[in-house]
Amino acid sequence: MNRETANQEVLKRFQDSDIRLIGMGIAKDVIPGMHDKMILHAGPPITWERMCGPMKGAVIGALLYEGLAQNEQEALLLIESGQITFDPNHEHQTVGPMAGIISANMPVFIMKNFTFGTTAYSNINEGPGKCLRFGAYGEAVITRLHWMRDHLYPVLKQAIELSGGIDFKSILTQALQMGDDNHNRHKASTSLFMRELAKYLVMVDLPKEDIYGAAEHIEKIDMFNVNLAMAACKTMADAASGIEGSTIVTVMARNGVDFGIKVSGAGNKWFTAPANIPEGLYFPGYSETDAAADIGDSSITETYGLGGFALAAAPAIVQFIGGSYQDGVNITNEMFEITTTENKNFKIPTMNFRGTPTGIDIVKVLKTGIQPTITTGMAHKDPGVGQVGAGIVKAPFACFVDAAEYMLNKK
Amino acid sequence: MSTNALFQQRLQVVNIGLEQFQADLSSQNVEVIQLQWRIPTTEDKRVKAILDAFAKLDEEGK
Repeated sequence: MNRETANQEVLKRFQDSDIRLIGMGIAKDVIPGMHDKMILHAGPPITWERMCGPMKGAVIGALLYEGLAQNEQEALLLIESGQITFDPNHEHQTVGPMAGIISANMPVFIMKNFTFGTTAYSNINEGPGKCLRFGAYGEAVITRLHWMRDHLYPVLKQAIELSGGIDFKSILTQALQMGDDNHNRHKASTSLFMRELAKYLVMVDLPKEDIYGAAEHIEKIDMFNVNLAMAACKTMADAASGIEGSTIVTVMARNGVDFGIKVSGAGNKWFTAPANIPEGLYFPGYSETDAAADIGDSSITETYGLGGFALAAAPAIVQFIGGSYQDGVNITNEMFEITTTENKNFKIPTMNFRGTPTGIDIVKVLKTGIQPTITTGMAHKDPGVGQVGAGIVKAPFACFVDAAEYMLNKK
Repeated sequence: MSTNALFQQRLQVVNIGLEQFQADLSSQNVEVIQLQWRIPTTEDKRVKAILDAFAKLDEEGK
């Protein structure tokens, strides 16, 4: 198959997928290869020694959550004993925002791509402020995670099962028309999800206070849907992986130290380069010296033509990350230069309903020198602190060069 | 030169990245120009060799 034909096949899989949220489960019961002593993380593979502060904090928190350690010291001893296995989410059909830490007994959403038969998983969003995904692991963080497992998860699981499956591509498509970039703004998509779920929530056969708690949890988290959007994109990424000869990127992910990409024609191989520090707006009291390098699996949204690639559709988020509306339009326009098509599902109202730039071609990245732009949250570089701001970040050029060279040598 | 001493002088700023920062500085009467920077790929021999090889393969329909 030549490159043009192979790339068209990838774009077909990106755009023709019928994706539905079909249920929830406990990680060790549903995620392939998961076990009691395994911890999944964001980005390309990394050892404990090389992990950044927020990822280390989140790992400690996960061990406290699991009851495998009673305090930070015990957690560190357990990790250093070599009994804990670390693996990227992406190697287990899974994605997680920021540190992306998922352990055996955490509840996860199950997203299914009915057109191409792939399934993907993601955890539940905890909310803003101090939380595990930003590396915080205080008592309040662990208490909330336990509440999510014992009270929130059973309600959501039952409601989703009662629905018979929720069309998630439709939610993301509509949300883009309502001002979401579907990465750092999920106000519209979370509202649309809640609208779909509401009638099933009232039918859930569980204590009223738990049902109220579930509704309140979603109501208070504008970014609730980011985990679900990521899982939807992951089903498409896996469907489009392994098309011989294709130079389109199927995964972009960061672990706070390395930025990694996968390219369809290169199958499951990672190409990595040092992760950049995002630029943007910091919360009061924090500055660039406090920020960790780029982190999280959420750049799977940009891989599919959302997030930074759809900034022109989300004027509200551009202000939040420290730019003007015109900056958003400029960034989207720039992304057209490194992508292969205009998305037939995601249309940008402010650009006369032009489709979002979709299908990053590594050859176009090399030709133009334009690096993919990602919208992102910023975590504190130290464990236990949490989020310090939000902004944008560029994917490092070097991993695209390595990938292109690998593809040539493979010919 | 200390940072404080730097900011007591007349500043001439080159902004690379979000144009909003250029606009904010301009509104405070700071002299600033916007630079649209891209990686100069054609000057990199390794990148040029990769692009030439892909161009040949594309031309041959491989």
